[in-house]
Amino acid sequence: MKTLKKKGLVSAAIAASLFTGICSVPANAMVAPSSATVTPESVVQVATEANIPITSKKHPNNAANAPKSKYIKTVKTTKTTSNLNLRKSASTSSKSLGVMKKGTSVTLTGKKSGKWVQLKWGSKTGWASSSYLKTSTSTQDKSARWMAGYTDIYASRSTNNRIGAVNFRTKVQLLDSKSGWSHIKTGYYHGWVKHNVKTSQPAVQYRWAPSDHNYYSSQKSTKAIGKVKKGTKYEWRRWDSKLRRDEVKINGKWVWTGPNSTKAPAPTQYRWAKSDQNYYASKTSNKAIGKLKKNQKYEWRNWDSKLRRDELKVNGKWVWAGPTNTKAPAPPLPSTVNVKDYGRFAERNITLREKPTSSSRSLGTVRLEDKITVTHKAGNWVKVKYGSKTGYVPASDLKANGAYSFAVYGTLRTGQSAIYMMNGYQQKVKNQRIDDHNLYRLSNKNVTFLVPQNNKTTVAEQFQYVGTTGKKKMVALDKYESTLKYKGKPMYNRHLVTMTDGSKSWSYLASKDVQQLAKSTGKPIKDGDFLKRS
Amino acid sequence: MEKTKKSPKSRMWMGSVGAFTLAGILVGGVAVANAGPNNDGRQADEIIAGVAKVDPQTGDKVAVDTQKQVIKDLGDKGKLTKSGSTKPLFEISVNKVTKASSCKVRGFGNTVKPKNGTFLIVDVTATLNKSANKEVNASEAWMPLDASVFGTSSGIGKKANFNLATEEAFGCELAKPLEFAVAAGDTVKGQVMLDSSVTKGQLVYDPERTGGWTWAF
Repeated sequence: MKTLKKKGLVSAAIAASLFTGICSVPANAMVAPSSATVTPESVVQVATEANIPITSKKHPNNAANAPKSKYIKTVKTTKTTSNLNLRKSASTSSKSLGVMKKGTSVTLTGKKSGKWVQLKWGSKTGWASSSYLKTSTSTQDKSARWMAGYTDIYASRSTNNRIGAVNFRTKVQLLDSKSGWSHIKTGYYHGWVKHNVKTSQPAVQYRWAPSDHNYYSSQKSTKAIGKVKKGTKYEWRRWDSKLRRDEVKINGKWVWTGPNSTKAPAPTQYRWAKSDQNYYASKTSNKAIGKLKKNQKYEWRNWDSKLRRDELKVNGKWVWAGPTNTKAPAPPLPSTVNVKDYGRFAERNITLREKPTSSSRSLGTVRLEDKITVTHKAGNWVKVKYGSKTGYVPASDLKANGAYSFAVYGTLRTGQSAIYMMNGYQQKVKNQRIDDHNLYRLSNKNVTFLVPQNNKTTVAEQFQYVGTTGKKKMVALDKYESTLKYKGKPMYNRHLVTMTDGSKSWSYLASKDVQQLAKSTGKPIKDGDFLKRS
Repeated sequence: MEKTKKSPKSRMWMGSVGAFTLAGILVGGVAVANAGPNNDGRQADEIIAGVAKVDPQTGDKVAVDTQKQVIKDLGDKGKLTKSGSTKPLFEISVNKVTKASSCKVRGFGNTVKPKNGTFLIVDVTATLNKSANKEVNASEAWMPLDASVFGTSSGIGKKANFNLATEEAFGCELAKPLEFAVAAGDTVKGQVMLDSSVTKGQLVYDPERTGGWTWAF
């Protein structure tokens, strides 16, 4: 069994060494197998002792020979097994200091009196029967640590005998600590390190490729195994300052690249030619070697404020030209085309613009749910009338249906007797017409009925509400309109109606029974307009 | 007050059939012939077109005031019966009249006061016989019951004011609102709110202002 284990150990180590690229360390470099508690991230440079490899359990620094961690302790816990009185003295007749609930943790002081034991419960000290206490033993492990950087490991608290190193973010077990040194155990061996031992795992660190550059399987290798593009971001764990290479993770493997940037590269900057202007081979040259194209975009990297020239990339070469624009030229504005006026509601608070572009001057805000009239189209924008203002808004910010927009007729209109019921509105739009509906009355001239009827329109006003005010208004109007009944059913029901301008609002239509009554025996109101009473 | 007499030969007048609603029956039927008032506001015992001398169902004498309204006590039914029949086509009774100085607007909950002085909560029961459909040219007969067809006067024989259907009264929340109208084959019962300047007197149901019924309250 022992022999088999050893063979397995060695073959695993060789395979891993190829992967982690430790071929650059001395020939006896090995990677030890992982353990259950410690991650196998350590790179080991083994110092043999009397020709015993560190992978051997005979080597004193082999993980198998590590002393027990001082941070793993066996602790005893005593808990109550039922609700139990804490007594002032060791007797049931003694005064109770309180009842400890079942499962309460207590600390025994060591004093005993027959079956009674003295214990501490929070700030109280008293006595309880041991018959209702249970003591159990458990292990408290506070030995987990993580490496804050690539760190050399020594056989003792001296830098004379380096036995290997451990990588950034590797989990280790802390065995002991003395005078700034930490005795740690990795998956392979144990030894001493200075600094870099943390109680929590450090965050992953990244690097960015400063240019298109090669990567290698080890820090000394000159044979590239791949290439990364400028600006590529990868996980990093080690910098070899002598060889000036970083160890980074590319495609899931740890490899080595030339120096990287610790910061994300600034995004490529561009400039736009102001005109068909000349460009030059150097910033001081006066001999033009070509012409930029007006409004063309060029990669930029430098500005000489004295000579007032920009360095730009033209056809893959860096050249110099007079001042260019830092912003892309505004795209040409879409042409404004007249359309038949139609109504819409704001789907959100919209900035009303002077021109059909978001960079245009603001003329104010069209409030959420307010109604506007669209008069023109301009690309994805529309020209609208909003109260006394005219301007442009994105067409996508408009909707046909008002969430809490009511088209009211009859006595609910301005100047009529029930207008007070429409208070609390955000916006009122007068002189609108409900399309394909007619207004009727029966015996009571003040009570009108809205009835669907082709080619007829009814005068209405649109009231817009928002948020909770809108919800409350809808509930109140629903009750107000639906309480009156005919044939056991509400005379009015709320429906979405389409106005002649295409916008849609809620309105209260006569029930089907009342519609029939109105059409057969009622009087249509001329032009759907409600006459004012005098 | 004259005592009513039963007369099996008495005829209930049924006016010409209304073009659209049964209300038209009432409208077309009422005309007064040889009428002259008594001192108490009641019509003298003359034949009045559109009013039966006795109730064809009960034989009770029918009393009419000088405003052509058939006089009823609270709870009594006003009836409309086709000539030659004893079964009424339409019946209406005012059962109770309650006064209120304000009311809550349904749905909104705010309180409003009457525009004309006093709210009258009128408990009404009305029935329209299904056979009424045969009497109209329209597809369905109906009788209006909204506030606009009710009036109030200060006493029998006094002219009634029918402008009681104010917006304030229309918006009032009622425990059991009366339906807007009664259709043929239905009986409805409920409350209608009136906005009246008169707090005591006569309550009149007269949809077309050509004669109806009156109850003292």
